[in-house]
Amino acid sequence: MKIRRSNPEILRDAQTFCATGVLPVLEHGRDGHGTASVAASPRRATHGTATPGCTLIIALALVLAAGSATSCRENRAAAMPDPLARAYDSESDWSDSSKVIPLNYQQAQGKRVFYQYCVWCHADSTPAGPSNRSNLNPNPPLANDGATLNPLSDDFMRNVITMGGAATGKSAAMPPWGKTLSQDDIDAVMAFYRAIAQPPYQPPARPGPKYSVR
Amino acid sequence: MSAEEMGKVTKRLRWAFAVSSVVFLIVLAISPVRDYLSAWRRYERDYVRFAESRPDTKRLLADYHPEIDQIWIPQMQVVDRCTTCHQGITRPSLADASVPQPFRAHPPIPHRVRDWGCVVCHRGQGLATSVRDAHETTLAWEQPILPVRYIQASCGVCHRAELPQTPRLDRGRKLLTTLNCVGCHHLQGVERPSMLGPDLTNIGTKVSRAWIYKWLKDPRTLTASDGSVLTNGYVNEDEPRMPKFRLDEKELRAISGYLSTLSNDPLQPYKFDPRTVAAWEKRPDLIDQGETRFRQMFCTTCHSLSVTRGGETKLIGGDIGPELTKVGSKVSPEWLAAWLRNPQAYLPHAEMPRYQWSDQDLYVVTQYIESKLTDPSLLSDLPKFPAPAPDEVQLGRRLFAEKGCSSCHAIKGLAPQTDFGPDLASLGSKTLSQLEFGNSKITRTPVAYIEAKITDPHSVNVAARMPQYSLAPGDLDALTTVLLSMTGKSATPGMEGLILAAGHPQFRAGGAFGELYERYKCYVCHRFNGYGGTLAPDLTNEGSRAQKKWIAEFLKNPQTLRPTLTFRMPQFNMTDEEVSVLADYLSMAMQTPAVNLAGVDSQQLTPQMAGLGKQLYEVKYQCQSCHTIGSAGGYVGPNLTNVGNWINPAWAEEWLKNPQSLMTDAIEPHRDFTDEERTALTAYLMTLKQTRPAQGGGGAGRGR
Repeated sequence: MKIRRSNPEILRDAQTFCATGVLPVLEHGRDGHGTASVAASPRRATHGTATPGCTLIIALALVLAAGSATSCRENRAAAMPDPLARAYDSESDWSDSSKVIPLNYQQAQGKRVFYQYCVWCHADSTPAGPSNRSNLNPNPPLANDGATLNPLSDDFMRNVITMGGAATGKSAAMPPWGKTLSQDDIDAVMAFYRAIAQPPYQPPARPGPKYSVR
Repeated sequence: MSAEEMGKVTKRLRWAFAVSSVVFLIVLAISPVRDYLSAWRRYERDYVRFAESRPDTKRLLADYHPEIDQIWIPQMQVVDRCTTCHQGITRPSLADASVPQPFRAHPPIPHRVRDWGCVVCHRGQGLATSVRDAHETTLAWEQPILPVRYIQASCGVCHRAELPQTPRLDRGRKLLTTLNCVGCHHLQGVERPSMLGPDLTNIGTKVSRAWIYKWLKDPRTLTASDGSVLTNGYVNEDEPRMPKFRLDEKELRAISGYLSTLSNDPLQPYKFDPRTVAAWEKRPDLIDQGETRFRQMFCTTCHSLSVTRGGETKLIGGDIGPELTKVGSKVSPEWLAAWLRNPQAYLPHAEMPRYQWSDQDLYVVTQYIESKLTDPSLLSDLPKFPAPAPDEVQLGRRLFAEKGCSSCHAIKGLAPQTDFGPDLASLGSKTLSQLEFGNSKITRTPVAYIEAKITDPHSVNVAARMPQYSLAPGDLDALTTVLLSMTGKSATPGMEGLILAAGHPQFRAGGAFGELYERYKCYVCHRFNGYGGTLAPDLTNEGSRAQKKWIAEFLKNPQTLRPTLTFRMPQFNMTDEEVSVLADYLSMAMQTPAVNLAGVDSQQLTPQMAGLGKQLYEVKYQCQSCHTIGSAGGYVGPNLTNVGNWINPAWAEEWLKNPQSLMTDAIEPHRDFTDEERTALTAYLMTLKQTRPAQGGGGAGRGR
């Protein structure tokens, strides 16, 4: 199903803004304000709107203003969106050090938990230097090992982290973290794993029609 | 007037009346039409259409009302209408990136959007009902919207205490202390420490005028070809705290001249016995021996040295003390020996411990530093400086105050300065009109102002007194974030804590222990009752954890730690008497009520229990994944080879119950052992004893 949009400019501005944090420069006047149904507020008082009792000239001016607000706006090239500029935190791509992966709030919390508890066995270098990964048999997967971890469902991963390897048919060397980490911490760590996975993690497709914007 | 004429007038009047009625109707219609066409109404209509395209339409439209949606938080003076357009902000099913804005759900955060609204964190104009008014950054709104990469600034407005969830803000707050911003600026919630830069009262006895000149010109001795400094592989972690001031040739000569004359009460040079020195001087291996002693004493736990491996130069070592790669070309030999013997005699605030030196050790280490940690070309590009003329000294003394040097450096007899720079306590809430941009080419936003000011102060104001810091891009972001968090608002009730307290010891030990505690500066690396460094383990509960005998042996020979650690306890060469004082105090006074040392009787731990414990350790719980016994096992936890001689059995039991209850940041997972399993594991651990404890032990250091 497609939506016909009465003023595509506004959406474009919003998208530009959301992508870059910058709005295109205002050139031709600004949008009208919502009026009638707005509850009284301190600011509204200074923005009085036209009433039918105005003179003909003011009425004509308002007609023009309403017209200009909804019509003439130049098309402007949207600024290049930089996801890193919007990111809460970032992590460099383990398999390609020239790339940096943006992280949202939850993934950033996962990064913090990961670097305290998980990094020792699920990475090849640790804040203290050497990694414990090579000491273990079987070798634990690297946190960014998408080929191994992407096929695992969220539920399975959550179970392995919460209840440990022995309870889920994996190596007993993976301890249960359910009493050490909160549910939020575990979800955050999983979000971090998904964010840094190489090849990138694709969430399972959702059913239902797709909404699109022309 | 005839009736005919009356009729004409009436007709004209009728026309006029008809036209004005139409105009009147149009005017009446304008308001509802404008309302209908307004941006927020369009978004609401779009949201309904969008919701209809989703499988969960009913839930998405359950509490939808076609009017302005408002979140009002009277206590924080927030009126927030963002959710009028951002309709899906609290709906988890719209979290997917394919959902178009403005309908996408907010990523999960600890605060409920409905309770806190949007502008508390994002700033911007919560009352506005058009896209531009709400989000505009270039106009002088009271609260311009915050770019998302600085969003953690808003967390810092209310949360003054340490906040692990905000890495960028946290880094920024750390930078405020390491860069000594508080030397010149008043900052919200940051206390001014007693000492910022070194006391320069006797600097003339320590370094030459040429070195001061060079240092003032560019306060870095180690730079890569691109000008960056690498420490432990991380760029700029060990940036010299002294920034680069803009000084011209005359000023450089005057200040270096003035400082080189400062030697009010010079350090008494240490006199080695000339006969012994004569004997040592004949030995060619002297310098090698010095290097060995330097390494054995673990000077690199606090000081770093530049090491070149595979063409890459890195600083290896700690950052508590200054980097020492070229220190031999910096300080005079007499000063060095006297300093090493008693640092506090030169600088009462010095954090360096007062080691027990034998004459031979002191001599060989001094020789090593003076001959190996040098750079012959360091001062070779400088002209020969004559003794400073009196007017130069006079000018230097004046400049020392005018340039703000005395904000960080004390000189006896010179009044210290505070608040040399502008007050930054409310910088984060300043509007555009309150900031001085001058003729600079900076984008006119408060955020761009802060960015420009800390990147290059002279890009904002060519006459700025602020020195030049060279910060990595990540650190610039961190510093901008923390400055934006200082909005001058008073702290939220219940969260009044300081961002950075100057640090007053809450632990004052008296007596013989107190003297040694001060002498060896235990608190620089270890924490005691919440005060002290974080490099080494917290010793608040050391008496409950470790056996007294082990503590004593460790103090005598602290080189018993894991070989993978870079940071190890220095060898202080303590006397037996000192060792017994420290061990007595630590084991008696530093205890926690959570561990009842009398509660576990090691006599009752039978070999059968230990056998079961070994099974559990090796098979069921696979503790060897993280712990080493002998030569096999993992590196994550401490080496358990000698744990039977090290840990108190009661501590082991309590630790197995819940590691985090004894040490909040313990990595060991909290597991569900039964009482029997716990006793068995303790029994097994207590059988692990090494006859020669010099090989095992462990447990100190980072990354435990």
